[in-house]
Amino acid sequence: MIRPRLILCSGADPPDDRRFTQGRKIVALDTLNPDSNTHLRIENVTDAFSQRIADRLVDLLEIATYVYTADCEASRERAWLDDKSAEPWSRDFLVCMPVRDLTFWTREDVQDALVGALSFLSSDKFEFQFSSLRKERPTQEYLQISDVEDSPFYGVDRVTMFSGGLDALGGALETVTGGGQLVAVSHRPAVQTNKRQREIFRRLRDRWKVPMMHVPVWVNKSGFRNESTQRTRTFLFSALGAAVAGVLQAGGVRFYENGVTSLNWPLASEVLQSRASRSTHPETLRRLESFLRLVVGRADFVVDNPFIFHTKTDVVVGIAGHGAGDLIPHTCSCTHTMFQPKTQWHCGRCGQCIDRRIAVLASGESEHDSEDDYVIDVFTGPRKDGYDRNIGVSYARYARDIHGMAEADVATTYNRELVRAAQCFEDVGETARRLVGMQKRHAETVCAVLDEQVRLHSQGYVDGSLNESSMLAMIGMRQHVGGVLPPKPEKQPPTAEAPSDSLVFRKTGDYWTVVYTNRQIALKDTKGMSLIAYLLSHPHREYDPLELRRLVDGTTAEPSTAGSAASIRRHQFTSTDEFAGEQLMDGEYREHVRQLIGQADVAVAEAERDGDPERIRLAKAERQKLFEVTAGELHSRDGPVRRFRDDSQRARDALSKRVRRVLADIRKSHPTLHTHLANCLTLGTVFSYKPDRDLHWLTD
Amino acid sequence: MGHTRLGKIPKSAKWRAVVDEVVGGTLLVEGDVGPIAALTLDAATPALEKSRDDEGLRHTFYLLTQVALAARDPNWQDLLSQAGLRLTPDASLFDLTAELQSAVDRRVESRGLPSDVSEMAQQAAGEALASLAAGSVDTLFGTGGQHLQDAVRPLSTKSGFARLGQRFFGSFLTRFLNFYLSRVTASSVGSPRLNSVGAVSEFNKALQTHCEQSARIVRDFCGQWYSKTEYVEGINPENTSRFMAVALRKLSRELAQQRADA
Repeated sequence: MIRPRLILCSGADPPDDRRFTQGRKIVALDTLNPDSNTHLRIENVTDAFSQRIADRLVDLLEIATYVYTADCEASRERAWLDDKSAEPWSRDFLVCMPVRDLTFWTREDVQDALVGALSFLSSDKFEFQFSSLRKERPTQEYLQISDVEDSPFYGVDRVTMFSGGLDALGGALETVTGGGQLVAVSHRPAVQTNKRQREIFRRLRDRWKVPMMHVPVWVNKSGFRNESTQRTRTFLFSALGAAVAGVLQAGGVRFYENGVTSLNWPLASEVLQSRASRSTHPETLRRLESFLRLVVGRADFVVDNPFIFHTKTDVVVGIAGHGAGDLIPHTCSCTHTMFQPKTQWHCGRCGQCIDRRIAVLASGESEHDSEDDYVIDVFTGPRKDGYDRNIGVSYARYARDIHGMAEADVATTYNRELVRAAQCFEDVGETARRLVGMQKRHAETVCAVLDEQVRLHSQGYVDGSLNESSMLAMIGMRQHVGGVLPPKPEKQPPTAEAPSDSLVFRKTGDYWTVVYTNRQIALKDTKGMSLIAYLLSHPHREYDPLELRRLVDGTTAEPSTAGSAASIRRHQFTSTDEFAGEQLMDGEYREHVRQLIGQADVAVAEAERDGDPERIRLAKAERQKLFEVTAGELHSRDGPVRRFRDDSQRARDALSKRVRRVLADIRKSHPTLHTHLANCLTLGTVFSYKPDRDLHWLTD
Repeated sequence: MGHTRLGKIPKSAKWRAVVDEVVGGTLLVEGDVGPIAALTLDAATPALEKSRDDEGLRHTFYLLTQVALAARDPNWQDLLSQAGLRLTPDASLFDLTAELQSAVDRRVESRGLPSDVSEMAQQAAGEALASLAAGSVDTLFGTGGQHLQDAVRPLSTKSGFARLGQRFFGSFLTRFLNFYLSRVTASSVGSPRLNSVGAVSEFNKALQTHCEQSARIVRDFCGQWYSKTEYVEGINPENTSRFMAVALRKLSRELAQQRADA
């Protein structure tokens, strides 16, 4: 299991109560002292900013920084639990830290909102124990004061979170082209990212003469890099935005992320909970909004994402529509920013690079997205085994599947994911429709671009120059389509004795005439023969055992009801006990019966000891009745439990037994036919005959 | 497409047997899916047994019974409300699936963190209800009220609930097994049995069919339990919990028997 953590922040002491410390790994974090191990610095702010930032907002920044660092410290990669059948994913954090506004942070509604937001983002358990700050912690240490003038930005509509990607550029353009003031807050995880963000911002400022302010924030967590998923990063990001928004009295914090990425529907069954990131999921933003409203003390504070119904292509079309296509080369969409060379910003392998390239091509903006900026070509470049190939094919398969589905099928297949997003909006049904529509639009775009790419590289298919591990080659091999597994082949294909046209399985008097591979045998009539004949005459059809028994035997037996003999016995008996249904026949029931019979034995013994003939008779009769009631269900009082089987199970067992008896007979007289039937007959929850080629049997 | 974290399978004898079955031998065929599913369930048995106590799984199925029972009654909205499902008079089938899952979320969150099993159960319930009750997109998203009750009512009979139960358990079993198997198949592409990424899709389809067929074993059981329990004592969370334990055991035994038969 993942060892629970006790995060001691800003010099906090461990709790006195050992229940809170026992078994926990202690991690001490500090942002300010000389031996600080995590760092926070907000750049480009005014002196006035530093004076106006409320204590509560500084607390928020510290909480977010500590949570983010703790998230990075505790690896999720640990040995599986429960005899290696459960993957540890959730972690347990107890965070102790002194705060400036203790009254606020110890409020139950505040703690619930804080924990609720973090739990959804990370699937981790968080608990906070706040204490009063004993020693002053200078806020100025977090701020890099500049000569920027921030007074024009007071009361700005939104503080925009600016990552430097295509969606962020699209969002910034929406603001500046509408004449709004742009206050962009960026989290700078790496130097290269910072350069790109500054360059885009500089170009925006040069072209649109509206007030703009860029606030880069550094969070450096020296040495804590055990966990790369960093699911609480959005919490940190939004806290940075909220701090700036709080000082500027802004109306809220705004993320710009296309809807397909925000929803992030899972590509594999193992991707449950926060294994798929929920960075800008509507539920995340809803929870953050509830929490930040409390922090800034304004019920109208908003955390939103105007691009939730946009595809990435919609975003790029918007950028081009604002005449800013030339800014596209300055954006970076790749997840592997830290590992890319300076000259090539995109790996070309990850899902984000595929997304970007397809959006740029679909919107006709390829001139602004040079192929040279990709380490490998998204479509024709070689992909390594494992993640690279899987993501290429999964991306195409996802689009193809959604494209081929009706709206209702999308809503059914992805019901859970759709519900989780749609319920964050007022009109759940209408939102769901729009989200499905967006997914289908995205899928249609992807299919159209792939279609065009296949056409463009058709020569590569013909002359064999297309790399066989490339996305296009895999699509050419229909790997994204998926078919059905081939049927089970016969173990001993009858080569010497190929089946002739004459295949007979017919009853003649008391015997059955069977001909296969030109060899005739006669078998005595049994129920199993009729059953096999029926299946042979209806190849490839699947029958429920009850239905098949009715068809073959001509019985009209319905599933047993409470009126059956066994049920009546059970019902009479259980009218005095607490059991019902299936578990009547389990060990608990047997123990119950045993106790009752034991009590009856005692009653008989007591009556015999008292010499009362009438009581002896009655007690013995009661004991006998108990034996009779339970005799059909239990082998003996000490024997194995005989479990209750429902009608379908009984029918299945009976029919399987019939067929197996016949197969045993056939095996002796016609091994080839036995092999064929054993391979093609299915006996189980469904019964069927599925030959691997067309065979026509002559039956009655 | 956002960040997705793909996991690994543990290194133990049972999981190695699953991996060997997936990667070894010749190209996968239809008949191989059953033994792979059974081996996987064998390795994941402790997790399945633990899931019987999962609040999310139990409450999800309990709410399915309450939706089905309410659909019989003229005051079905009141009955749903008593079960914690608040629907507006014009609610659509999609609203119903949303409210059911929200009710489970509320319940689970009030008792701690959501579990993977709870998530699978909610996915399975949403899919089962939506697929069986929706005849058209208008039924799923559109006109609600009486129309919605009419769409759900066929699931309120003994045979209707049997179908709902089979679909739910089939979907849950698929998701439960693929929670593990998708890690194995993703890392096994290129092996003799899964020679391409496309073969993984084929395998997933076959696994889904296999699980849906295997869930036939609980179909009649679901219907009979639903009908009898409601008549005798009324369905409640406690007897639902006992039923779930037996149903999961039946499914488990069924896969084991199929493996023995193979």
